[in-house]
Amino acid sequence: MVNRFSVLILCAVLAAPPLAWAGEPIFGYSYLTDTLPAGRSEFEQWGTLHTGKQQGHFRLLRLRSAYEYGVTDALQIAGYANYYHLSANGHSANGLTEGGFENFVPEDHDPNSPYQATKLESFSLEAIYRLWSPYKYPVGAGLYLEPAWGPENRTLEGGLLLQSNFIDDRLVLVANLRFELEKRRFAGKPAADPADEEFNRRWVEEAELLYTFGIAYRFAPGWSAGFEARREAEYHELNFHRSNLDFTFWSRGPTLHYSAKDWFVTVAYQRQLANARVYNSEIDDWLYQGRIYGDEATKNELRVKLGMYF
Amino acid sequence: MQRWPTFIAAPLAVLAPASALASVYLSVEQAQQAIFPGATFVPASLTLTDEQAGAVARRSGVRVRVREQAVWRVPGAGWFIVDQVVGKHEFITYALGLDPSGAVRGIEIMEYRESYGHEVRNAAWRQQFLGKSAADPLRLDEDIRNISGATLSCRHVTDGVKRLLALHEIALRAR
Repeated sequence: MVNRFSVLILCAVLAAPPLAWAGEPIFGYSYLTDTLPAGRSEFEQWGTLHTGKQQGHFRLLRLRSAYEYGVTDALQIAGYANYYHLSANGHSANGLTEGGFENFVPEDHDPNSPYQATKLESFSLEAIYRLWSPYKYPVGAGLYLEPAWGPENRTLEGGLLLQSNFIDDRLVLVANLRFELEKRRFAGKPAADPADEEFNRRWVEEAELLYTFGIAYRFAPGWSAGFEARREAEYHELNFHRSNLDFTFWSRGPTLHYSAKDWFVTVAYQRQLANARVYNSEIDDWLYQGRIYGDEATKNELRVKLGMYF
Repeated sequence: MQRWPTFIAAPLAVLAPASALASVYLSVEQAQQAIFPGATFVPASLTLTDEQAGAVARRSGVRVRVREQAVWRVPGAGWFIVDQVVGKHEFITYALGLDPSGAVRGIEIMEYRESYGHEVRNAAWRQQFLGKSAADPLRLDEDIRNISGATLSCRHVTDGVKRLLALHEIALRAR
């Protein structure tokens, strides 16, 4: 039997941390295989605004401050601070202000009142290793790994990055195959039956598979425009067995990137498609008009990245 | 409307736009004197026909992006060509000097605006091209050494030289 506890798990898998980036990001949600040259550094500031629930008010701004460093020409490491600001009121499927495996709205919050908070989510480290450069081989490839530690979460992300360039490297195709394993700590619900698991502070596990695809063209010096699509599949255990699959959804949208010699900016918009599928009947209410609205999942996401090289 | 906490805005302040000054290292005249000191230069720019552009692309294996080519004849010494190749963000402008047989006499990077990859300006890397002709493969990691961390620039400059050597064979040699 799947109860509200399970629903919260599903909320959690929707709230995966935003993808980090290797080198200069011409996409909002996909990695390139580029890494920083040895000895070079970069500072990046990300902001991702999630808006558009099936009802109520929900505005989540997830932020990430990153410092990246090229250890060798093929190995880049990075450190991140992940934090957010949330303003929500009556956004859940039942009209309450609740939900959030990732504790964006903590379990011990009164669901009948609005919620607003600014919190540190986690610190994370990242290593990206380029196996083949797309400037030398038909298909460039890289690997990345990113563990994260937070007051209420532990995550491990990893993935395979693929990239092919065409037309003097001005046309870029990219695909990322990414996984994430995550543990989140629930606050416990004071109003729950003390005999119920929800009453207690506890850790919950989940997993996610994410595929992203992108195409971008450098249409003028410094400027790239493109399109990205991503598919997310969420599981309620620390494995990817079909029986644990809770739901899948797609989102897609345009990207625009400008880079000067020492800084860059990327803007990416994603709109969730109305073809989400739920594989767990207990969480049918997270599906509304074909879209998933659990936790921070919304119809719209707008991501801005600003970066500076050192 | 709630105010965003100030700590959210603070990291953004770090990103005050830095100047993106173009790095212009050599003018045309300076590049000419660097490759052909004391020589005279006779403008001989050309526009490739469709047939010539196709022949250059086939011969070099490199796409011909523009048909117009800035060329100077250097009487008794060869040819001086100014060309551009695609960098990561901006064009890389460089000059190539060829002797009368079509072999590379010198190469100079005139403008480079990229964040990384300035190593292509290093004399040791550019010297690899000296004496190369259209008969040479001019392939990265074969007869031209790559610079790790500047791969895109190395490849595009190498491809550019290969294209100009083919252009010499097809459009300049008979002039």
